[in-house]
Amino acid sequence: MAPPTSTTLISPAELSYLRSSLALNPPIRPDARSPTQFRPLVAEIDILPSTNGSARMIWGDGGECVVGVKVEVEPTELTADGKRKNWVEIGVEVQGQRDDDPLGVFLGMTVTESLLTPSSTLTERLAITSRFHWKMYIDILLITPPLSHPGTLLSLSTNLALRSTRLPRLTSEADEDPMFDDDWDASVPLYQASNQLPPITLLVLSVGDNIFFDPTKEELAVADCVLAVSLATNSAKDTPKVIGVRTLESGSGGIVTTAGAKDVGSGGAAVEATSMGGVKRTVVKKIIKESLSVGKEVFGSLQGVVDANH
Amino acid sequence: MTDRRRINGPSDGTTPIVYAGVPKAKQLPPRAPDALRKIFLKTSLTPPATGSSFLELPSPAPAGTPTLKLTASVYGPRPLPPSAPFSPHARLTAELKFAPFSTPHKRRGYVRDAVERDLSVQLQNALVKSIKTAAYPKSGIDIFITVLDCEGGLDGDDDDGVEVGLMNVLAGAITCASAAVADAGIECVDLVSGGVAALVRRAPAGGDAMDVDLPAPVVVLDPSPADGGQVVSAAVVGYMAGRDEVTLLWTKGAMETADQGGDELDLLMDGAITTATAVRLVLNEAVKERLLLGIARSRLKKEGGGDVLMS
Amino acid sequence: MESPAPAPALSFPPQTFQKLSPSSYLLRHLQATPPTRPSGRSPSAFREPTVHTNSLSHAHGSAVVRTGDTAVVCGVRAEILSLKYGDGKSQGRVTVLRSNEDEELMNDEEDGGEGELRSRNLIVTNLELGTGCSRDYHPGPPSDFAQTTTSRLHRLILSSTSSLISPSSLRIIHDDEIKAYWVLYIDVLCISLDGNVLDTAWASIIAALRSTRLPRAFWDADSESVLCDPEMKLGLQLGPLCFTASFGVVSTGAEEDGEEQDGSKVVILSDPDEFEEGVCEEAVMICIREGGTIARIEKGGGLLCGMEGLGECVRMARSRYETWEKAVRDAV
Repeated sequence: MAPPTSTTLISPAELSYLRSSLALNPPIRPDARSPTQFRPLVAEIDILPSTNGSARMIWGDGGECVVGVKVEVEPTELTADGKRKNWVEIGVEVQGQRDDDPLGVFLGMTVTESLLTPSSTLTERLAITSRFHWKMYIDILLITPPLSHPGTLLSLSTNLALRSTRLPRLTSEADEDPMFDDDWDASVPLYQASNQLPPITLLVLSVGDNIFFDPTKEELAVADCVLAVSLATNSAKDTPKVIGVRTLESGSGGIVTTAGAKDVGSGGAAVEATSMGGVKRTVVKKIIKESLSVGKEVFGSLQGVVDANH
Repeated sequence: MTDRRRINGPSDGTTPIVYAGVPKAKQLPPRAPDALRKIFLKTSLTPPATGSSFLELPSPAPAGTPTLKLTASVYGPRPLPPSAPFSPHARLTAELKFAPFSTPHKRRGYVRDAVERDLSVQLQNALVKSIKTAAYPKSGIDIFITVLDCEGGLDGDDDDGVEVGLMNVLAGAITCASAAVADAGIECVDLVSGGVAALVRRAPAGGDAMDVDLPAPVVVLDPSPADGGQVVSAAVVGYMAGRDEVTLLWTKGAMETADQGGDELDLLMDGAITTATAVRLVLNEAVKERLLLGIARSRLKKEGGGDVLMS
Repeated sequence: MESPAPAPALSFPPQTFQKLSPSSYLLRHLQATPPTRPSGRSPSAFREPTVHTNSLSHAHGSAVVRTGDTAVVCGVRAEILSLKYGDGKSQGRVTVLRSNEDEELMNDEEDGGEGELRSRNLIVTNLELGTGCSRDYHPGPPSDFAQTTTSRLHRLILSSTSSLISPSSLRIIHDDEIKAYWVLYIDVLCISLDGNVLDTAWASIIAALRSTRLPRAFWDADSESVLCDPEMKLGLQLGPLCFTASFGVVSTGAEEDGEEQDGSKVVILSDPDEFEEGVCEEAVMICIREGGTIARIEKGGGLLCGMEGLGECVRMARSRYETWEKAVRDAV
């Protein structure tokens, strides 16, 4: 398979066609999905026996992501202001890309930010005693680069891995050096029923007035605006809360079209108008509203995966 | 790992200062939630660059309090290197770097870290939509931002709330870079200004921090990390006021949405846009000042004599 | 027979000429009466400096210095180097030295210990040009020019003739034993580069060091670490001031085609800008110390400047010292 290039090579005419069909009411996606429909995926958890938690996900387009979570006991060094710093370390490796690639940086920052959001209380659970804590390493591997932006795939896999993560049970007293039960069956899950579930991040894009989930690479190339919306919830039954929004590079293909826009007739005008400039704030708000209801469904399906494994 | 091309400190490493007791933090004069701080923005302070600008927030700063200071310089449009593949539009790159002495606590290194790369990419995304890149095929436009000083609040989020320091840096960088792009005379559809707003829960005056009923958070425009209070969530936008369009949105922290009572996301985003709109006025002035100077200069050139005779 | 019409003389606007033939462009300017440089300065004119100090909030000392279109920001930041047990005792210490360090350590014992600064790396100087200050330097690893300029600045700070920083003000002593040292990180960022970054950077270092205030540090026996007093701040003990002056040397006779012309003379350009630095191959740097003594001379790149020229440079460097001294004194 050829390595994916950062800029999609699509001809101006194709872009224009793609864009106009996505802007229709109702829109037509190239793969005939509905705007909120995800591509089929396969997910499994607890696949790596030597980790505390793991998950694997295979996306319909061949993208495959493996996430492993390991924990280690580390003495707590409190900083002057009593903050818990560097308790979670997240590594993202995208096959065939340097580790300072913008994509890897973006994915890593998104996961870190949403995982450690103030309402998550994650670091509280990682504390063992006043002097020791669990240091958690989350290693995310994109084994085969997917054809589309791996943001959604990666966040869903990480969510499953964290939900399958178990910590050994503490047997010692609170002020002793920590000792643990070596019976794996007695271990406690990191995320329990009362806790906020690990976050998910959805990629959402807008073309005209239409909003699409789980976009393909071609759809990203003609988008007006692409947002990564991170959501969290206490239970799969509730409507999730927005815990972070980031903007992605969008419409790089759209800009290509601008150069040739004069040749594509009436379709070109629409492309020209959208390849530059931002989006109205109403569009942004609409994107986020819609991701809430879609997010609820996604949390529901993830719950299904977890339940099926117990 | 040591960098042999730079002069390094002692090989065993050094530790930042630890104070005996808490150093007295200067208390900022209280500010109304919708009061904005004054910004100093000036263009063309780096003459070798095609365009440049310098931003300071707040200006003038109360003595002894940290400020945000950054410089932006723009080079281009200039030809892409021969090794680069054909590009039908200008390629924009943005590089943001913190100076080693710009942040509290520990000195920063010279090698770019993940935070700097992340801000660079966000800055690039915010600006590229304002520039008519199709007007400059086969060219590169490079933006360099140097953060000389910042207000702090870069430690990352924790259970006590989110940090707004990086958001302030990004908003400042967007405004400063947009001024530099305009100063370089690069064709744009509009100028982009950055604005920050946060939902802040302030401890009631004289009250106990562990009070059972916490006060409802309020939207604070242009929040400063030194303001105090617990920041529940925060948002930064890149906003083109002339077209009423958003080029960038970055939020942190949990936000309630309409069906849970109180649409905090809308409040935050509108707040950030209000800030950005006010910043835009400063941006307009800085760019206009430069334009008038340019007109005056070109008039001088026409009237003035030629150079030394070249034979 | 009709002679062909004379071809119209080829002419360019000055900017184009400057790019096509930088050397003749400069020489034509210098051949005019009175000789004037492309920037409008006379050959001996320096650019006027402006100095501001302590405008940064997180550095212990800082300065912004601007000369013409060259502007730098210098920040001094101190961190603590803790010594291992017994390492700081003044008596009975065994030190392994590399051969070239011998001599420095000898001096060191006599005049206050420059070698201590050097062997423990207590002063860390760096000049960063990858800030978008000029189109020639990019972010990333420092260029050769940045590295050589950094090492020149570093050498000036540590040289025993300037003895700028006394090691005694960096020691943190408890019961006659050195427990730790202050390490000074001196970072100079060039934010606009139009030639002669050395003089400007050096002046910014001097101004920043003079404005540096460190908290009083003491050894805390309970925690076995160095703590600082949040209230009390002390300045550094600095040696006599010294300032550098750089010159470019060019001969009006040296055309690009090597053709010697009559009446060629050597011109010394004070404080060369970026364009002039590109044309002048020969460069002179003179560092003048308080009282007008010469602390250092660097010269290289050509043979044009003789004893007479050097004397002229020293004279100009002395008057430049006065300018810098006043600017820095006013600012701090």
